[in-house]
Amino acid sequence: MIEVPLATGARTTAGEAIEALVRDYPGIRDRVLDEQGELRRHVNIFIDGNNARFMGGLKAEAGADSEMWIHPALSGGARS
Amino acid sequence: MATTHAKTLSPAAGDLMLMVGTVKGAFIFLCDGKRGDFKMSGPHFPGQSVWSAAFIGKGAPRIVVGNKSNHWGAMVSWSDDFGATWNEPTEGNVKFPKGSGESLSAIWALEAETPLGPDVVLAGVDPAAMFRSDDRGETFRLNEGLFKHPDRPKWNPGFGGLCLHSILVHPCEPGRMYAAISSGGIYRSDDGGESWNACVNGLRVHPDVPGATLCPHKIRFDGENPSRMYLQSHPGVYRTDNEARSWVTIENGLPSDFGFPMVTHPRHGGTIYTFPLTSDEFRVPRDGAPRVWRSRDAGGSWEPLGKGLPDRDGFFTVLRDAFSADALDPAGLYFGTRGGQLYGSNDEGESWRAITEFLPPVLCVKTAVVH
Repeated sequence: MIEVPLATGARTTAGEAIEALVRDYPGIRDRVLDEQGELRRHVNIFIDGNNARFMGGLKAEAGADSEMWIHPALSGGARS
Repeated sequence: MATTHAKTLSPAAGDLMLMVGTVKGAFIFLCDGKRGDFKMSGPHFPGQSVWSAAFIGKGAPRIVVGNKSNHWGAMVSWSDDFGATWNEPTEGNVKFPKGSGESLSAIWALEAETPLGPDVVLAGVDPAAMFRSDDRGETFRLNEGLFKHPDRPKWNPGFGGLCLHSILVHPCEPGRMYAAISSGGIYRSDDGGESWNACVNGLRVHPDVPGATLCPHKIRFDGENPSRMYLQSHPGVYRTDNEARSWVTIENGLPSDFGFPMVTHPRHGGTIYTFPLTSDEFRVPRDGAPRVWRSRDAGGSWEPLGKGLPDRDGFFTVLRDAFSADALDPAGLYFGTRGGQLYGSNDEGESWRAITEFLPPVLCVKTAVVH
């Protein structure tokens, strides 16, 4: 796990936070988002413990003191 | 003969390398030109599926693979030291244009060392499209002509997705190339990929499915005559003698018209190999007795080859890219199964041995003789 403090202002969105991360970790955008800018199917973002997918996706808002987690989803099945 | 594990591989000129992609990583097998004992390394990209691989032997040797993380996406990665270390691109290197509405699912085909040049690598992907690299697989650009083909709305994904799985570049006329799509058809370009035309005369679609599109499973050039090609389709086995202007059926004598791979002898024109499965509905060898079937007269007649393969209780499947020939003499043949076995033949299919038996399900088997 890598913990990265981001200075993004009082309020930011999940998408803006990812773009802020890209400055120091340029490979992260294409791992987390597909080429159309959508969150990959098996990646989840949590903001203060809430799944961003149900809070507007990449437009989900975070506050200045929020914690945002990027998780590979726990998924699998017959084809795994 | 035995297969032993090695942390790193150090090939010498003339050694044979097998690049095996599975649903849980890639494995590399190496032996000398006598093809006795193999050394194997891997898994490379543990936990990722590796759908395609190719070797660039001219210049500094390089292995390129199409690896896919179910979490983080698919890309082309490369190794310049036979798998001791790998380079993953910082940014995705096979990407559809923003706004196209498409996103990469998997890289089904990688073709290197084509007549297009030593640095060119072609990629066939799901959703069906072709990409080209001019820097030995590090960056790619979309082939717009095929991507914008008017037939595209008619293409439909099969069980495996909507994949462009076969790319052939004419050995003497590099402007002529072929691409096969499941389910979509076979397309030929005569202008280096600027424009494409469907080449499906003589092929039949599934008779029981209204609106079904053509589903070629694998196409290969004849070993001597590139105007001649062979196709394992879904359903049917075919040959063309006129650069895909028309196809004729050659399945008479085979136990089934269904299967995935098609392999051609590297030098002997008319010698081809298939791995028939019982049927579309029951995708295992007939009666549990897996057999490679060979024709030495361009599909006029067929013979089963099973020495060393199970005579019973062998219910494995061989996928379209999991069966390949090497370039040695006599030609070697290698296939991997969805049961994790890797079989090889040193004598053009007359006899077979298990190189290893407990891999994850095998997606691709590619060969290369190290220069």
